[in-house]
Amino acid sequence: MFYNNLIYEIKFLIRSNWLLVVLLSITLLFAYSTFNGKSNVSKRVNDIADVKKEYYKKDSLMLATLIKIEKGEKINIPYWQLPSEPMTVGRKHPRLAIMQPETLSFLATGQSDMYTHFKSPTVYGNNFALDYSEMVNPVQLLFGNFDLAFVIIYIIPLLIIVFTFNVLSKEKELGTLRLLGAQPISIISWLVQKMAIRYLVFTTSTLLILCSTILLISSNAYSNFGNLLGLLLLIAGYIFFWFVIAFIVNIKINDSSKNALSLIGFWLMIVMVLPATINQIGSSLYPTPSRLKMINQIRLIKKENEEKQNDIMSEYLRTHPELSNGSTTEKLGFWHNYFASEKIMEEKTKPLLAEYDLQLKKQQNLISTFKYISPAILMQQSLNNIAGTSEKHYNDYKKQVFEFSNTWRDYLVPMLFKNQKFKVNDYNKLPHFTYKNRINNNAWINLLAMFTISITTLALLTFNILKNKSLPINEL
Amino acid sequence: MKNIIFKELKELTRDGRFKIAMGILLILLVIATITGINQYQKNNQQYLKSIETEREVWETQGEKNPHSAAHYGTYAFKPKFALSLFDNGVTKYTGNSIFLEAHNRHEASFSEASDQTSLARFGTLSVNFVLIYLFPLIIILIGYNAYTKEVEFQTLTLLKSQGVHPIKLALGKWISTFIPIFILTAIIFLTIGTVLSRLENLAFFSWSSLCTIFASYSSYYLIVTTITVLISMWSKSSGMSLVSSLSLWILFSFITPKIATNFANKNYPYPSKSEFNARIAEDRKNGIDGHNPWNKAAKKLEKETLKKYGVDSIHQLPFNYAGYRMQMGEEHEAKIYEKHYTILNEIAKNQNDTYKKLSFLSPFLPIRFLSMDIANTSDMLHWKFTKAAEKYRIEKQLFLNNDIKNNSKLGERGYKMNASQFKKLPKFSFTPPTLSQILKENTQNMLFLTLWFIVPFLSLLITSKKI
Repeated sequence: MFYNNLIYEIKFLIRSNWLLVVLLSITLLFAYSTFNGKSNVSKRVNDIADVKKEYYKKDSLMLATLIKIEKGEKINIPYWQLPSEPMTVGRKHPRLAIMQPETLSFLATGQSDMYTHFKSPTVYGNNFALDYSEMVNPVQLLFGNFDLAFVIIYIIPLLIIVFTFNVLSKEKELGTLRLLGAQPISIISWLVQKMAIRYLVFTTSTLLILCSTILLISSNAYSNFGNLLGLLLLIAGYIFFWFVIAFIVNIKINDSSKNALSLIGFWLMIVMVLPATINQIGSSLYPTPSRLKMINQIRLIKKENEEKQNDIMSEYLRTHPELSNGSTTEKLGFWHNYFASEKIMEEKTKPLLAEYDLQLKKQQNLISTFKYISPAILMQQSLNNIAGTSEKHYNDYKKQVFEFSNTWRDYLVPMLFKNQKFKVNDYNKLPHFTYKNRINNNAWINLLAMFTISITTLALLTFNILKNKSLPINEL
Repeated sequence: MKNIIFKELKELTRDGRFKIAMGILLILLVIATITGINQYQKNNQQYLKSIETEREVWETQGEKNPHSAAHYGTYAFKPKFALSLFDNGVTKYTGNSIFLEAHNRHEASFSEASDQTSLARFGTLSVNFVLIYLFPLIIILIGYNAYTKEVEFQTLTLLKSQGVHPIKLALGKWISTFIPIFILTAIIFLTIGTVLSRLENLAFFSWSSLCTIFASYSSYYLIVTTITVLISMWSKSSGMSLVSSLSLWILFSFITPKIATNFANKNYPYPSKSEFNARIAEDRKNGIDGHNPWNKAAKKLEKETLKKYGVDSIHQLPFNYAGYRMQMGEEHEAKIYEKHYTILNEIAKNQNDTYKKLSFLSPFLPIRFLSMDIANTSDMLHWKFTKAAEKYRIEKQLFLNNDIKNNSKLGERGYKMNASQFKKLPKFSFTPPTLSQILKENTQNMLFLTLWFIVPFLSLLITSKKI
């Protein structure tokens, strides 16, 4: 019977226009969104290239000046700008801390449109509180990007609805359901087989189209086969969830128009209403700590500690450390005092900021646990993780930059206090930043969660059927 | 026509799906309103407290060098506008405070979105979310089978044989689809207005703005109603009508805005922050630097000043030249910032124009922009706020530099301004544009909404005669 069903279904799908329309739509949507995602990544790469170009230009100028200094040639720049001074290198020639895109970054914009991907922590200043926001029109953030994640999370379920909403009800409306009932197979088994065949056809076609699109537009994504495989399986899991929902609606309602309406209702709930409601209720119950309050607290700390700082060094020089006196003894004293005065502020504000970050992290983790309520949220977080554009990635990038700022300071400050000059030879020994993606993408756990949600939903239905023993499909 | 309207409305009240949908919507609206009011009050209280604390910090600095005070700086806080409770617009993405200090113009910092998880990108359940995304769906639910059900139940011929005028039939169906949503919207706006007007310390609430938003949303619903009934006229079955209407809703509300984002970004890209800062630094390099008396521009200024006052040395000037040079440096830097921010503002305007031009593909875009603008939560309002903050920063610098110029001596490093002087700096205040100004700036949006109504409505009338 399964073989007959399979042959019939394949023949039907080939002759029906629906499959063609669905596949054509998927192809166009995937191509356009992948192209957009790729363009966004290219802009990011170009911005990085531009900033790198500027950085190398500045470095070559610094090197040229250093060579002149070492040759004893006369240099026409103020003493506080001389690159032979370790503090000048630390302040005026910081290293670039770049966050390069991942091979699958084109997949989901995630939080990448809000943050910068390069930072230059200097030898002094508040490196623990750097601003990582990027210049962007907020309207763009409000509407979001047309990327692959959008197509997969929002549009694919709608295409599944179009593809499955009337599998059973159509038979009823055409009057062939009674004929089916006369066959040596139960209606539910027949529907399971039919939905399974459609699931295989839909999933295989979708994944094949996706693989071809990626191959054409961003072939280097294949270099990260593990992530790509995780992505494909996650999509298969998400499609499976929507087929389960369609199966349930087909059995429980069995009227084409009502089926379509109910499925759209489910789509609305899962993709729009639940995430928005969870976000709103979550933010109300577990609010992010107020930034305005934090500003007030920092300002008060600053005010309270100003006197202590002033005892060590006048505020005028603290805000303009480059204007310190050029003579060696005074300079050493100056920087000793400078770091001591800055340390007072750092010691007071750092715990406050650390506490704030901890509170924020707790709140974010709490909100993240809600992802299991809606497969759309689960899918969005999974795609962001695979693309390397989740908030966790950016939080970790900030952490890595801060760690590097300490390395940078620890390399140059001892040179200052040993009264060493920065030389051409030291240039190659300067520490460099390399971003490491240390976030586990949890693709397999999320995949397991996706199938668990789908199977639980299916099990609940089965339980319901066994309990009620009455289904619309029995009303033949 | 009256009979048609009554018949349709009676049918609707008997429809279980409509009742369930309305029930869910009302629950969502209640959640959105309660949590919204709660958040608004909390944020507004924090805003008021922050202003007070910051001013106190500024006024009680004690004796201090004015330039040190300029670097110590102060903050400008963006008010929490009353109608943000209704439509939060882009507020979540812009940041609410700007640090104002010497030499540098800062961006608004700490946007709410950067502190939230990516879940926030799905949107927030607000009153506006329900009204702009979900209410059109209710209209579709009511109207998708307005005509197709007559065809499916074969009652259309019956209606015609009774001599019902086709236009009256069309208008009857059209009005009965619109009335429930109109009444519900009116109740919601009245409730919100009443709740808002009873809240304490409300910033810039006006009934006229709320009524204008109500009128805008009503016109948007008229457009959706007209298109839904028109599609029902054109469709052969209720299923097809429903699928077509829903597809249009998705195209209007999701696909077009996102495509517009990609178009805007491609045609008018924003510079990266680093590139933007590098351009400013390049321009600043050759200009007057208040701390650097040796560069060319500073030397030129010195020469010009000496000539203007007819003296040979800066020591002979009737004021402290260091304070004067500092102020000239500030003015020069402010001009550079203004130049680059004007360019950035132009890019933002061009990007927003791209959205507005694509309004011919979706009536969602003009209503979205109009709603944000009236609620004072748009990016244009944020631009106005940043400009006001910058104007205040410049005035603050002038106040402090004038003190150095007039009260200290050249080379007097230990000079301190009297503690009481800090109180004399005027407070920062920001007043949003008036409703008429906002409407004037939104003429294009209103024009698009009118066109989106007229064209489908005329089609509805013409098609009704052909059925």
